[in-house]
Amino acid sequence: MLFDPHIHMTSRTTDDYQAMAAAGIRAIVEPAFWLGQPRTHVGSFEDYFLSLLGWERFRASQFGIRHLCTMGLNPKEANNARVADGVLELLRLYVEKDGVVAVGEIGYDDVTPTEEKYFAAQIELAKDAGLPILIHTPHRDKKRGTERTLALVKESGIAPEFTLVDHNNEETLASVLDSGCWAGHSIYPATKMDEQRMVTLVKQYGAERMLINSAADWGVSDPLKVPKTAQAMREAGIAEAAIDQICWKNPLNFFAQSGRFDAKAFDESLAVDQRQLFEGNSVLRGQAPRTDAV
Amino acid sequence: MSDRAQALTSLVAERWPDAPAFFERVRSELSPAPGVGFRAAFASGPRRLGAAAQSPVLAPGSFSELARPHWSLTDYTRAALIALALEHVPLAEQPAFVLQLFEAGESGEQVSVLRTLSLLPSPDRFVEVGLQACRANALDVFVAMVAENSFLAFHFPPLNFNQAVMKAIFQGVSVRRIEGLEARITPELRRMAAGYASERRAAGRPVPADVDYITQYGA
Repeated sequence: MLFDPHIHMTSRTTDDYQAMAAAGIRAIVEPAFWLGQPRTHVGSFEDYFLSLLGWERFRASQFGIRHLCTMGLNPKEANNARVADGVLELLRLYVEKDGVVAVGEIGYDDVTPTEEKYFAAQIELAKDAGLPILIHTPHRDKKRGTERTLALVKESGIAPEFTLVDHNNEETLASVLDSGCWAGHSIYPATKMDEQRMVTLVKQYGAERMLINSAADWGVSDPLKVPKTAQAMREAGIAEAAIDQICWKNPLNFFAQSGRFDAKAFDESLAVDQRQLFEGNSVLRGQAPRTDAV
Repeated sequence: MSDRAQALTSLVAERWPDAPAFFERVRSELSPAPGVGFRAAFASGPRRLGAAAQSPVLAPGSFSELARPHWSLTDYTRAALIALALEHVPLAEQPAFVLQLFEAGESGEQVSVLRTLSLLPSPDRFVEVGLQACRANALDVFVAMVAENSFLAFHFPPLNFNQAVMKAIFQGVSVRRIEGLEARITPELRRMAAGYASERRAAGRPVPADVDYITQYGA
């Protein structure tokens, strides 16, 4: 069983869900993030948050995949003061919703003082809600951005075991693991991290507090990167127990700290009943519904 | 009418016979404040230019320092519209007005706003538009802000300027197209570029030549 702890399914198709289920993905976390262009109204965020909790969770369930999500104001849009304060207020409500397992993606993008203000405020929000945090690290000036991230996390007083720092590479991983935080890796077709580099990192650093994800979204990305990387690890002789830890147990245990879901139940397959509707809508278009015996 | 609005509308009128009627209709939409009617004209107006819309314009002497050869008649027409509209927007509200035109614009509108930012009165006030543009994923919008545009080096704060340069490298937009880059290469920008080179090498990937240009400039 595989877990993709960072994937933006609102941007993906049912073909993706089918392929992910066929490749063994049984659970995902969809972090709230931006939509490729900035939103200009607070209300757009609210409808997006509702879709993560509603329609997207339903869509995933129709393919036997458990869908959890994180809520947050992403760093890019944190720079827009005209929406940021309103979104922060909304988040006080949305972090309390069932199925929300962390505050995220939060962090730095351009590493501006404004980003830092909302980053810190959302760590406080997570502490109040008893939720872990999922942190995006910047594409540009990554090493410095990651160092500042770890310093801010430490200063905030949130426990490192409640902190997942994502999008690591060869130059950031050691400091993240040394800090006691969990370390995520986004396996991308061309940027961020790839399968073979990930194999090398696992051989060097082991499996403890290590996670991988596809971070698939509306851009060129691949929702099957977790199974593909698991296979690459297998072919490189990495033990099955380590692969299982990285691709299932670690994400499960990290997000289970939220107390918002029963991790034991995840050992059982999610029964699919495609006869179900969500607010009158089905994912089917005339196909015979699949139903599993419960 | 302001000198700038006069000069821009004249420039357009010399190249587009329907311009006087078009601007006249737009003027009727400006009071008490430019609203949806104005924004619709801003969006659609240049389309009415027909074949002339994308033709380059040889800038007259009054603009020669600010204008760039790649500006099209569309860009000038939109710049004229903004100049006309600003006469009906209180000074304190002008930055928010232009920001809204940018945010609610499709990419062609955004490109026109960005290219001609330097023509706005006291352009420093409109830097937020430029900062938002650098967060765009749409390449044509980002390019309009960073390439062949004097606004970037003149008005961006250091942090945002450095991020724009690094994003240009990421996006494959040559930093040689950034006007005034050399005067703004600082130790901090060199450090960021060197950090990126190190990251690329650690990933087994080639280092773009633009990175070396920055790290070695003046060395």
